Amino acid sequence: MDYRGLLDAIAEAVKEGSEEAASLCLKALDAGIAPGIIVQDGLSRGINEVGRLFESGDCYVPELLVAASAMEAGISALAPSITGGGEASEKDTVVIGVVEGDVHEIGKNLVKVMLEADGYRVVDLGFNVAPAAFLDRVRDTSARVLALSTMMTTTLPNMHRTVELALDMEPRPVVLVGGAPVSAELASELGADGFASNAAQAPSLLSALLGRGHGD
Amino acid sequence: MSIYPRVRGHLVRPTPGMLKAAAGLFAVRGKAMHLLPLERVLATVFHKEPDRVPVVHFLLGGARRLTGASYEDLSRKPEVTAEAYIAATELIGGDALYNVIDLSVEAADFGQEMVYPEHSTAHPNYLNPRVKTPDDYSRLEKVDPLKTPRMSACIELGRILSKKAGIRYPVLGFCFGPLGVLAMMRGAQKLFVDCLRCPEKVKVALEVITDVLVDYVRLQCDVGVDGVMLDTLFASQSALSRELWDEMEGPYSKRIADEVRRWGALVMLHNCGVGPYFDLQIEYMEPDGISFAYLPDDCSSMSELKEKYGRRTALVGFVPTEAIYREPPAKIMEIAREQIRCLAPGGGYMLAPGCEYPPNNEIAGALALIRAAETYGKYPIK
Repeated sequence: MDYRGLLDAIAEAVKEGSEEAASLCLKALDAGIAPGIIVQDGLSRGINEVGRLFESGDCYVPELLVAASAMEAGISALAPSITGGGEASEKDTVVIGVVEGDVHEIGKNLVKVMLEADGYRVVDLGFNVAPAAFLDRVRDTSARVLALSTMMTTTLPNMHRTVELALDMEPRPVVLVGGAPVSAELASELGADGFASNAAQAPSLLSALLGRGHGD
Repeated sequence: MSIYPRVRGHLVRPTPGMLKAAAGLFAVRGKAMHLLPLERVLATVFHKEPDRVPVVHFLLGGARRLTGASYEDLSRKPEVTAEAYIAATELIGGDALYNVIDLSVEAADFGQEMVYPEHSTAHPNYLNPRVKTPDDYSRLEKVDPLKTPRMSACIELGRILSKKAGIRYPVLGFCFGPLGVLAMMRGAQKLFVDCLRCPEKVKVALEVITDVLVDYVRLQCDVGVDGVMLDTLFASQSALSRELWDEMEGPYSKRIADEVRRWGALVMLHNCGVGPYFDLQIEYMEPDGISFAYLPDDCSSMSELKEKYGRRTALVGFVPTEAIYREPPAKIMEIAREQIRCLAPGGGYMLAPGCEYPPNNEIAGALALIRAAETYGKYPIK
């Protein structure tokens, strides 16, 4: 398989949710393709295509999840090479998590995958994250972006508190919020900078908020 | 004791024909006087115009604030739950009682470890899922709902509510769908992936769960609930594709709905996902009513929804909980007014939030729903 064929196969494996993506990534490495190219033109291309299908209603959460799993398998296979080669992300760091009191993390996980595919370094704090823990990690990682998720109305006050504290930080991170009970209006009332109604919208929203074109 | 008499140990319920005739009579009576909530709901379910649009406010966790009950007691002690739900309905208004507490009742009784937060809904301990690997699906075992802590408590809640409701309120039982129950034991994310990667393993668990849920709804019917609401969240664009739901839950949900109907109770559905598949759910479960939070996947407007499904099932909804959380009562009434205008003419519509009333909110939003129904929901709708 030639250079282009390998990258196409990797993208296709991600689209199909096949964990063969990992072995194809290793083949691509053996063929001399740089890890950054494999991520960008193979794995990310595949997941972005699935993201587009998801946004247009042509695929659903399970399909996006297996694609994300295939992508993660590919990233894991490439990890030693990426670290060794010093190919750090060119984009900003995003701290992401589900707010305190909430344990629903599918949406957050999908946003994470889409942002990673777009080149962001994503620090995932998981679920049930206290406001102080979010702020500490933003500070420690010099993250420019804080992304918060919740699925319940009972935990919206915790999201609100986290946003308020984040807005008082210096330098202040860009704050994104999302989740079932959140709307654009509510996001604005909470003081957040942006709201994405689904995971596929997150990269373009963030690019707009950070003042650059999607995919830069 | 339920309003239905027992003959040789079995409840005797009116036939659908008798209920339909009664609904017609209530509709006639409703033109001249206020109806009881039970009469109002029955007329609505049979697509007659009652005196006014009924309201189901789904004030579950929020009801505890009226009686001072802790969240944990509300979740685990049926007498405490019953007291709170009845107080909420009598103080605020509302046209139905329901024995839904949270979505983990069934999973807990299959052995899922639970967490009971002080100020929020009980939920599984997701760090310790009952189904840790796909091989664990085959390890789930049948349980007897009467011998379990949580399902038996809900059955008891149904019994207490049916007794207290008398002929005044309809009482709805509740049952999470088989995939929902499994999601509580595996985690939705892993379950979604398993549905694609190892569906046959998932189905082994679904068979066991469905057997238990069939028993569970039968036992609820036997204590006198008037209907059972099945939560089929996964039949929506938020979750599975139409094809995958068709394969993974459709046939199982049909077995549960058929059992409810076999015992003469109403089949109601709740699906608060985005783009619910009304047509598929109707095909499998033939529900008397569907509670929903978003327009179905094949409708782009309320008028299309009414046109397409308004005669096939009663519509229950769909004031956004997000609006109830953040909007003042006047705005909630405005939203409700528009929904009443579009969905209520001809009957077959109950005003409700799209999902559970935000449990830590003030009750002003629930009062606004009642007031909207009383102000804008009187038949004939203007």
